[in-house]
Amino acid sequence: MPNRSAMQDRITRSLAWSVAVFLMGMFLWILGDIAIHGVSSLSWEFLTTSPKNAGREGGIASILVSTMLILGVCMAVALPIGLGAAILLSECTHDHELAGTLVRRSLDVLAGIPSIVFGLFGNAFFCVTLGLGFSIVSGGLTLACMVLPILIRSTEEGFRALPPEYRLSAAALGLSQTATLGKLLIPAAMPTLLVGFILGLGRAIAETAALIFTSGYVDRMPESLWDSGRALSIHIYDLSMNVPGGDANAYASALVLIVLLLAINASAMGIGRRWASTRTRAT
Amino acid sequence: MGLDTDARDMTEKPLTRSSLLSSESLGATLSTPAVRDLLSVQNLNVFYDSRQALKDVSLSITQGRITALVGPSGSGKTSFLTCLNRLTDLIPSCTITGAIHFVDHNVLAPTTDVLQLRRRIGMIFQKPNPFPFSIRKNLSFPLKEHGVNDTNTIEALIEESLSQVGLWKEVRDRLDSSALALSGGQQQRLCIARALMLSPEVLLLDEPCSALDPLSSGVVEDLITSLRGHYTIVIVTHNLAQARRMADTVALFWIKHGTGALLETQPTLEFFHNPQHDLTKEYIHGVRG
Repeated sequence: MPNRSAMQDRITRSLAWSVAVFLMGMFLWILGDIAIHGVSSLSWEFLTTSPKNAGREGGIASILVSTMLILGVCMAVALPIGLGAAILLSECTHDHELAGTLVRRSLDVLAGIPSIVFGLFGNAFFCVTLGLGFSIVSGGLTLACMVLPILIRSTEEGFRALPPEYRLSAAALGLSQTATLGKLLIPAAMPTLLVGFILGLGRAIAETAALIFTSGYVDRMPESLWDSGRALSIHIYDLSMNVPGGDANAYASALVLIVLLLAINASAMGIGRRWASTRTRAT
Repeated sequence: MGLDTDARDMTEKPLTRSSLLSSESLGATLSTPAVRDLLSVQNLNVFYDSRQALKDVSLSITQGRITALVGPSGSGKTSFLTCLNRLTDLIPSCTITGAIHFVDHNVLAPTTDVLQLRRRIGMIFQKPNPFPFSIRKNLSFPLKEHGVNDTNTIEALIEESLSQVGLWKEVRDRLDSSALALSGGQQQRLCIARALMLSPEVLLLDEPCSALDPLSSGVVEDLITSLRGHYTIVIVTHNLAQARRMADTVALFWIKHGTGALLETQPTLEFFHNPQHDLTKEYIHGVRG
């Protein structure tokens, strides 16, 4: 009689493998489809000229600029707030303290809120209440609200992953809490902080719903942060849903977005890995 | 220099350790019969929330000598040690009653400048814990935080401290490589050097050898013994043979009704040959503890 548990192991293993193959297949299918349809329209000119005829012709230069500006506003606001909140959570509150628990629970809830809700909130608060209108600033601030929960939790984890002995021996050397934080904990946690930042950036660059009602649709080259600007993901959405004949450029834009996303993820992994190997060498 | 002011002692007094060393050379300290107590602890009680970890401990630590704290796990040796440099402040649930005097400063007073206190009372932990920086930065950065910025002074102190822990020759040409690449024993010696950089008067050592292999442990033990006379040393150890080899005074902590307490304090020879308590006798002979 064949060994039953060996049989079970084989079934478990093949199930796990088929799931992995299925997932990889989906990813490659999407990637391949976009690459095949998009690569023919992709050129240097496409990246450096602005869209014409509602995006059917021309390129995505203004779209790329708007996207980068929105991301810039988002990260400029989210980074200091995220770092501050993470320091508050990991260094200034204790696990069982009410304040820390409340902030952490709120962040978990915020992280699960659909982005369209953030979009509506951003429209009501930044565009209307604060009078910022449909602008890159409004879009960036709305995105910042959206990536903050992820950024804060990953930064907090980065601080918590540091050996507690660092804090203890810093204190034993008579270092103030500020010096410990600024000179020891932040530099030591930098790799995880960077990875968290890059993953937040990845989340932000792919966002559509939060931006439709905040940074708007205008596909002109923005003249200032107070101008409306169209993000790459919105451009793709608009070309494929609202513009007949925009498919080729939609595919090419999607390809650009995916390449950017892959580059962002690869750099996050690269930083993590490089740091893991240099940590035992010079700093 | 007062601990209760935030005067920058480090900037006023140039950081040469010679002032400390010349007045109290090894022989002088040991041959002086009546040496003063640098630290004196009276009726110390330590609580974590409502649980009492240490009860009514009174102990004097003699200047320039090595005092070993021995006893079973949970008898409050480490708690005692962390009271001396107020590291207990880091544990919110911890409350202390009693009195600790360091020279003429009241350590437990709320006005005590704990950063200055901890500069003067250094501490080494069980697990070597260098920071994830270069060897040089490990040594220089705490000093800079205490207001010493002169590069030449810092470089001189680095060489002096590393020589004191016997590490200078081993690492002199790789001061800029990561401290984490050193072996466990080297890391522990680096941590001792890091504490010495701040010219402390007291060194608290919490089982500094127990996480090391026997060879490194021997090297670190010899190093600590070589610091006798220059620094006042309080060392927690589980190793009775080590206490016997190193210490001038041995204090035995014991657990009474679930609470740590000091059972007996004796000069080392007395402690091992003529202990006052039956429990001490049994502990020394490995019957108990």
